[in-house]
Amino acid sequence: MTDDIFFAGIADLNARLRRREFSTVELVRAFAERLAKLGPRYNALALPLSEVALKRAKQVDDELKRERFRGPLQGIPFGAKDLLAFAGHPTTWGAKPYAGQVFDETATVLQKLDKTGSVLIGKLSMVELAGGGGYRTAAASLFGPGLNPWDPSCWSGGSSSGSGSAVSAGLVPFALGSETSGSIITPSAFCGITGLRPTYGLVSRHGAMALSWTMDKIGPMCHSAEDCGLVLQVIAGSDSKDPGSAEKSFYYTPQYSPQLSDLKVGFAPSDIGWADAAARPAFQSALQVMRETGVQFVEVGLPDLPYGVLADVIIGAEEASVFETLIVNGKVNDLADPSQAAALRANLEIPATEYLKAMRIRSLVKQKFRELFADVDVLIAPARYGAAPKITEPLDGPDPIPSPFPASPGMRRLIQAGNLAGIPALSVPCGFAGNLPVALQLAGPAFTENTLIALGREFQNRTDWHKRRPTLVS
Amino acid sequence: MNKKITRRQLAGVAAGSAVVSLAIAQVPVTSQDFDRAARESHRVNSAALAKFEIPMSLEPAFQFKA
Repeated sequence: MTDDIFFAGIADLNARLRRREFSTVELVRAFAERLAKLGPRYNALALPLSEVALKRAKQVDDELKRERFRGPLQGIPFGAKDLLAFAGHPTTWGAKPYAGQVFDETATVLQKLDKTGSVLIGKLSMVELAGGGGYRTAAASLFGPGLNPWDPSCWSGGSSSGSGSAVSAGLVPFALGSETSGSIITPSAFCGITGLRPTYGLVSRHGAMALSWTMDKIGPMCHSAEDCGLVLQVIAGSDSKDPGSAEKSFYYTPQYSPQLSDLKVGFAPSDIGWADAAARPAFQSALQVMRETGVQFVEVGLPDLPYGVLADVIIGAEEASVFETLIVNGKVNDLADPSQAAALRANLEIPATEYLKAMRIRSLVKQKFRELFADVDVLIAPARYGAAPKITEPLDGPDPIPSPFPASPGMRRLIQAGNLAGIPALSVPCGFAGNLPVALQLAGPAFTENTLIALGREFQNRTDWHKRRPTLVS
Repeated sequence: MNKKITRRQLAGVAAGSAVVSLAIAQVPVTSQDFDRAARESHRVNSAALAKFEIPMSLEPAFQFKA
């Protein structure tokens, strides 16, 4: 097998399996060996699962020989963020206090992927407790700082750090990540891959670590928008074991894509001014490519609401309840980031009235987004306004002050606002700032994942940023 | 010397950042400092929420379902 295999799309890999160019066992072995060898170099690997993966791969090969086809994910290896339970194996949530934790039941999303014949080859590293409490350093993880395949002195992003690095380096064809407020979009953008944050409730979280019951989402991190659609189709759907389930399915239907000329895309011109100077040319070029798809650009801004405060209070109160035992018994002090432990302790003191007020203002966020989406179908903005920081940089350092200072806030708070509103978003690589990738974020109304994927796919038909590969550390 | 230190500054110290000034770096960073910074962050959030007036009819963004 050549290196091309490690960066191939899901449909391509599946077609080659069906043509018997290679077997599932051969494919799984190749990826599993690569993940075991290169994963630790990027602090991306939490737990190799080669043995169980090869056993499962043999079963999939038997099915393929009998022409029992289970869809495009059959025979495709993948990795999962280590907050998803895989029965009988450690699930650490990226945190020392849970290093020896083993569950009896496998997460719903992993069961669904298994049923289609996709093969889990490893658990992937993450920021401890998915960033609960708010982490201040890239090193806030049981596995060390997530290292970016494009430049290992830089961060891979969080909290789905290993998922970002592993897909970017071609260690898995796709991975599962989770997002409460940016944890899929950020590592996808920093690592130059395509990540989809689904609508809240579309994908079951049963068997996943809870951080914020009203904001947690699980989603795919892949090489392309199309691959995100293929994975989402499998993992989405109603689940009686998830109280937040929207009881909706998702079918990836590129054949019914909207006419792009009918789409109104909202953008904020001041976003370019907010971006790091090195990233501006990439964003400007990418917006031009988007225009050339035929969509109608409409100038918009985000409703003026305190998104950061709302996210802080809501996630803070919910995570304090989730981790109350950890906090009270003092094991929270075993976390790698002492400021994270302190924030979790303090979050126990958030008054109920404050949480409820934040949740009431959150209703206003939903209402304002409904009004915004009466005028536009999609919002477009930089996924992150700059490239990945160095792993030694504090993650909550002061934002750089752009010059000239932009006239409006633009959509800088789209990640927090979108997560509060529960709406989907897609991150697509759109160029480079120096040697590091940058990305655009497409966000739309709830349950419009097909529209976002259609636009992302058209952008990727016109560009090759998603096909670029990092030079890996030897 | 004012010993008060923000959470953000503390994080800089913890990360060994070059952008943190020498004066800040000399402040001893203890668990109590982090706790104080976290509570300060809460105070700022509380003040921001307090300023926000909302009508009684605006219900929280979740509903109990029987």
